[in-house]
Amino acid sequence: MFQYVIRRLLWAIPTLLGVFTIIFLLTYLMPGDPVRAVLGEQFQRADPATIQRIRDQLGLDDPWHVQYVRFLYRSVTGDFGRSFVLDESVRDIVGYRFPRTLQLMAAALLVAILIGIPAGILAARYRYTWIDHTLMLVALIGVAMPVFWQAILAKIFLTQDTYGIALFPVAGYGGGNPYYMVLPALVLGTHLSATIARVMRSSLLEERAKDYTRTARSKGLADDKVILKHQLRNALIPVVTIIGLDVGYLLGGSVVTETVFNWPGLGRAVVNAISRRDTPVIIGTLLFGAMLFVVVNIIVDVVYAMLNPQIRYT
Amino acid sequence: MNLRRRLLLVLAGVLLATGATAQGTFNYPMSADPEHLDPWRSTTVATRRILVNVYEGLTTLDGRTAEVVPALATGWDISEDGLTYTFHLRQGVLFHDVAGVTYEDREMKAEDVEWSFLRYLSEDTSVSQHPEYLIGLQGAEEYLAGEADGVSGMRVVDDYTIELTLKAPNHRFLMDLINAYVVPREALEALGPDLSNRPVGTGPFVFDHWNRDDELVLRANPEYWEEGYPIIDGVRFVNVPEATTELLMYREGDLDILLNFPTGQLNSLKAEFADQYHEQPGLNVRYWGFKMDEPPFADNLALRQAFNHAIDRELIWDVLMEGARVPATLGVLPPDIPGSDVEGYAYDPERAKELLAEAGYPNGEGLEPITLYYFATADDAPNVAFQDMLAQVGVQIVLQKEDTSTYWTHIGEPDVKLFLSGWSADLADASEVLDFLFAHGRDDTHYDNPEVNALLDQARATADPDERNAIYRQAHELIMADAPWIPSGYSKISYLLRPGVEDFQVSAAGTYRTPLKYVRLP
Repeated sequence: MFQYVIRRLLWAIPTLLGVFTIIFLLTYLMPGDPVRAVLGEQFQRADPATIQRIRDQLGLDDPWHVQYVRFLYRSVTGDFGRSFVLDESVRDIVGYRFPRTLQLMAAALLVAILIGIPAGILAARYRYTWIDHTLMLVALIGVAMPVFWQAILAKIFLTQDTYGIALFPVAGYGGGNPYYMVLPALVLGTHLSATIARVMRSSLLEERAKDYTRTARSKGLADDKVILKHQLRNALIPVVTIIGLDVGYLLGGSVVTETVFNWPGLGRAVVNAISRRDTPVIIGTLLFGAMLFVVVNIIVDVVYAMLNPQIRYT
Repeated sequence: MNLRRRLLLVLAGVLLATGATAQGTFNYPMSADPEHLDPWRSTTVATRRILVNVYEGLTTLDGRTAEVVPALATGWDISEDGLTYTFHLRQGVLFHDVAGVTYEDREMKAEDVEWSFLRYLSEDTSVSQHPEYLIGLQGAEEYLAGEADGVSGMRVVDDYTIELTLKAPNHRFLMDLINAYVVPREALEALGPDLSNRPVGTGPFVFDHWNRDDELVLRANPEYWEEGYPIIDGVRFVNVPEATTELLMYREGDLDILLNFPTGQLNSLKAEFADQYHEQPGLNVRYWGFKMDEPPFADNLALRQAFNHAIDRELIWDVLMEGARVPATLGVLPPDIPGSDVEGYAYDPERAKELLAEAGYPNGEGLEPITLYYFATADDAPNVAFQDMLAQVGVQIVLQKEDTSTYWTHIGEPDVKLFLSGWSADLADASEVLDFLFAHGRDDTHYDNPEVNALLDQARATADPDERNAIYRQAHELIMADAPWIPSGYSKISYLLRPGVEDFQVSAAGTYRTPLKYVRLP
């Protein structure tokens, strides 16, 4: 197992190099000019000499291969440089915002698992009854409804006395007060829970049709026990895959949630960097995201082995 | 009343009972964080919105009229030739007392002005991005190029007097000094590059803290030179990237002012918050620009005029856009700027057709479809209406919307012949638009008329305001006759302000220039 993890980590190197190259080339080829973002509304007021000096000092006029090697060197040494536009180093940008995104992701995942897995089990246990139909209808709506729309509804009904009850703050980080995290985590989490519930249900149904289930039942075990003791572990494998992939989704989906809830997370920083053509930040944050994704995938594979001892890695 | 408000009331009660005079904090939304808080590199509105409350220059803008008034200078004398400005500094002004900065002398003096101004004259853009504020001084170019140790046109006369001498008369000089802030040398020495995250100045508010993408808090400066100000205890700038959230927060009392109206809700909110809605003319002009050096618009005045007559600006802004802007029935200058009173191109489709024939394209025949480029954050409706109105006189327009960053670099390219653009004057002076857009082909239209260039040079050197504005008006008429633009709409500044908030002074320059020191909460 240990060797397996090491090998996977080594494989991550060419993967990340590929990711870096793609990010760099896309950023390089993307039309637009970071100097516009540096000077903002003053762009046309600035004299051409100043504009040229900014360009030179940021190295924007260097040939692409020079820039490629420069950014690659910085990435390898872990110093991603400073933002073209903000007065922050890429490390500070990630260091400050990622923990906030992680908080939100963790809370949302918790919500998703706590709702999704029991809902999926119930739906499978009472297949084709009204319980199943209701749960799956709700899940279908959940999957289909965009996050920003859910967020607006949640805000209208849960933060305003005019339309509902003002239970939660409208938006903001609230200096880390968990109270502020409830609504964004609920919105992001319930959205995810819908997928988890549907996968959980179908995966459990599959297990319920297998021979070992019949054996367990024929021993006289109650159905609930069969589910919990025998089927659940096997049925969870696809669910774990989905959750692993959802971490990637959360990194992306959290952009919208972070924007509507004024959450100071990494997703917003990435989107702002892209619209500003802020190359060091784009490369640094996306590469960080890719690394995270690689690590999460390794963890998922390890969890497979824990869930199903038949799976062996060599 | 919700639980949070009840708690707040209890808290307020406790404060009152303990005898604290609580004016409270003004909660102010910002749609994006400032890029940084560096006084020498402040360029964006997001940065300036904060800095105008922390730093001061020799001059500033009057909160209501947007005229240039004294700030750290109490006044100035201008020599007869218009070259030498002698500034008399305010006495007893103290730099902010902040942790980590120790002063030899905390009072702001002429030496501090000189030091701060010299730093503007740096070729290193990571130090200064605004050498243009002071480049007009004698010897400034030599200093910038590293050929001189000092600027010959800058002389400290005594602790409270500084003399600045220009190479050529320039009526814009006092305006440029608005953003040339005076910064304590000790703060830069003590904080280093961190000064651009923790500003230290002489202004009415002292920087408190900044949590990125979250909130930025300033507190009142207890030692501020203007007696009795600021009135409020502080300002909390709240990062709210999305307009619907801003509205919900305003409704819940989390914000004291609303600046961004969610699209399509302007009229309903105006009605709902009739007592809180404020509106006044602004200094931004939006226009459709012709590429003046590319066919089909190059050397075809009749074609450009035909387009101008084909557009019903009133229908666009008064009806379609619910009054979001004032229809640009005049010229390229917003109506608050002296010299703006020229005749515009009236909506007249018949005249447009005649001109089109004159241009060589009767009923649009022979004219290839033209692509109108516009940026993603602009509303679609005015551009769709533009397309339709031109179709009615026989011209085919293809609409092309582009991501904003791509857009601004793209419109300079030769393949773009027709594009949407806009411009904000910082203050109500014709030079703010004409000098930056119509002098020597600086605008994306590449408009370059030697006659206009000469008039603009002449106006810049004219000290008498009436005489100067007459020259600007003359240049404005020439520009309109050349029709490089189809002026579309002039901005309005619209906002909701919590009932009982007083002295939120807004001038045409915009809410970001509001001196928050005068604001009084209920």
